[in-house]
Amino acid sequence: MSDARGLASWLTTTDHKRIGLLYFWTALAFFLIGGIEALFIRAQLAQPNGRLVSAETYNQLFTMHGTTMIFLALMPLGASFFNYMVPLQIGARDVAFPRLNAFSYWVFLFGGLFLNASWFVGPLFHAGILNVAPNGGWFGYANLTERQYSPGPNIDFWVLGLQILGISSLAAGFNFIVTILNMRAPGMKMMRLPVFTWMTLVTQFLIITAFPVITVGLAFLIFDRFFGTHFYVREAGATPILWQHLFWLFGHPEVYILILPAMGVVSDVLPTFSRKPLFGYPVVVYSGVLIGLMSWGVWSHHMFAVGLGPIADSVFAATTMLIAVPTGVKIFNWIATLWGGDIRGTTALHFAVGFIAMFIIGGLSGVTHASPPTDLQQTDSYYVVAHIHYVFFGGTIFGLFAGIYYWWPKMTGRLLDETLGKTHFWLQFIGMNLAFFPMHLIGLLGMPRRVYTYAPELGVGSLNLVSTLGAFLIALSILIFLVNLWRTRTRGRPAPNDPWGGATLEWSIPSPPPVYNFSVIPTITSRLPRWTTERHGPMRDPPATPPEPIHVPGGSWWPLIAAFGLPVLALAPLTHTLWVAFAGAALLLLGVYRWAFEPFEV
Amino acid sequence: MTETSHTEEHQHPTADVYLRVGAVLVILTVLEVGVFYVPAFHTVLVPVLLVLSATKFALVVMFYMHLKADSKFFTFLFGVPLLLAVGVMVALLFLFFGALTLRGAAG
Repeated sequence: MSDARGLASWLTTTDHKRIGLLYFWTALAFFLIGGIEALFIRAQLAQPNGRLVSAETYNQLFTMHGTTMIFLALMPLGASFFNYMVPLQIGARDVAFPRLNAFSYWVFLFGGLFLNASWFVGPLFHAGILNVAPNGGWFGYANLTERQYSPGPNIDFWVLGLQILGISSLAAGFNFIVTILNMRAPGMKMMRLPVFTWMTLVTQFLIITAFPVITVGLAFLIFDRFFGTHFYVREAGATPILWQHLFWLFGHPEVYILILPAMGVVSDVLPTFSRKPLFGYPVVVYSGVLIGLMSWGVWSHHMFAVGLGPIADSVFAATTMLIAVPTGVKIFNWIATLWGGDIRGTTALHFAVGFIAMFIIGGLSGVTHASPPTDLQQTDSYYVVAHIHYVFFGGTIFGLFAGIYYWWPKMTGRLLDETLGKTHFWLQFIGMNLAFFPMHLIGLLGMPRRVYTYAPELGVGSLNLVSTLGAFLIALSILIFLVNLWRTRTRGRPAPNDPWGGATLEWSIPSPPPVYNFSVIPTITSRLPRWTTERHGPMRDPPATPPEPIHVPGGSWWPLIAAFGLPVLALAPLTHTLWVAFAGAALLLLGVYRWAFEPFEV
Repeated sequence: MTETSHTEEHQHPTADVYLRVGAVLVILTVLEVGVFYVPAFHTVLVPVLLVLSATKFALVVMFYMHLKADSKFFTFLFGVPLLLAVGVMVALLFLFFGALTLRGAAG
């Protein structure tokens, strides 16, 4: 990593490793914020007729919890690994467009700050503090989001914030596709790519195809709210169902945008800790690609309650059940990888195996939604909340934690403490099952989601209390993780190049890697370059010092300046001030213009 | 360098080719505007315009987006999402206009 010190070196960095760390710490901060929001929700629901927060605050809490976790925590935590690991895994010196990479990060940061500023800026809009945060649910159903029904700035923050974040994801998406396709080291054929890199590639294709759909949906909503158009206004002859189609056309691929990177992490972690090649590598890769393609054909299963008709319902039920096939194939391959392996029970492996178990439960409850008659009983109930948390918490978060414990030594040069790590794992594992399993029952017993309280007569008080205890247990486990991170800074065992005996290229270079990554770009002859296979011996690691000087481009201020133009631009409609729009556009154009003409190679 | 970049050594089209493609695009655009004013085309206006615009699209991606000169792999990466998008759009239009209903069933 770059040796330059000081704030400016971080603000101007274009080093993929530093940007990966920036993504990590920012996403972790948003993860903690989203977690605190969840704790408020659970504290409110711990007993019937809870009075901790008002109905209005509760609406903001669950909206911001969902939005924060999906767009500001899970996606960027994945992006942290795309940034740090993909160039290392393909044998490259950086991503294809380093300054675009910096731009993606800054846009993400500003978009996240813009969204979360809504908690505190109520007084600027003649409202109290904690009053103008988004409050329409993470999928912001029309026509509740129209100005007529949501007159305050709450939904404005949401719609403008998501537009900003979409730009970040799209820029990063194109960047990583070009990186993976064009920057591979000699011999790194597509079918020799580590599965994490493969899943990153599929994810980026999903991002660049799915985000334009929500961009269009949000643009319609912006026009409705600010310029008086009627894209979702029923009284004017439109139908709010258009929003549902557009949102879920984006929303279901988004589910796979969140889970595929975690599947990639697990597919790299399991072989390392069972000392066996991944069972059925090509099938795991093709399954990932197939999941990406099929994720485009299932969106209306979120809309069975709309009444789309028996043909549409049947088709989407069938496609939804079918998408379980490639997912199941992956699960069997992971289990077969472990089978007969020389298993080392590290924390990373605990999380990877935890991922498989929890994701199976989430996947199975997902299959129950695939049947329209049962879905009609489950929709809008806590059963769905249970499902989504088994998939995103049991799945994505466990997978990402596997990645954190696996790659932390590479990213920082120090090993996380294994005892604390396993304590973290078990508390989180027990906590999540206590928190989310009762929600299946709570939902089937009739408790609707997104309602701020419930009557004692519903008979779900004790189950809710268990769920709340589970949530606080998860919080304790995260606290232990934070202690582990903190301790490791000074007391962590220094990591050698390869503390785990990994097969992939990132383990052939120092931890953390030097700014140029590889002193000599390696030539790849095998899918497991660092292991002995039937036909190949292990590769020779690149020399510790480069045989000839390596030029590394310096940093740039312009991505940061260009990115800053976007939240300024978004402030204009929020404050109804035209000159702010010109100021934001000017910043953006200035940044892009100077960036375009900046001599980057010297 | 890699198996995709081996095939990237195709010759790029010359400026002459770009200009000729540009001329064809102009002619197609004139045709698109023109058919609107010819009464004989009114019954088939939509299919004619769809074919003309699809031709323009194909020319742009083949020449100006270099897909013709690039590796077939990129054509595949571009073509599959394109087909998927067309399929999704068609499905969405059917769903949105309520065309996917059984006769007599509520939809």
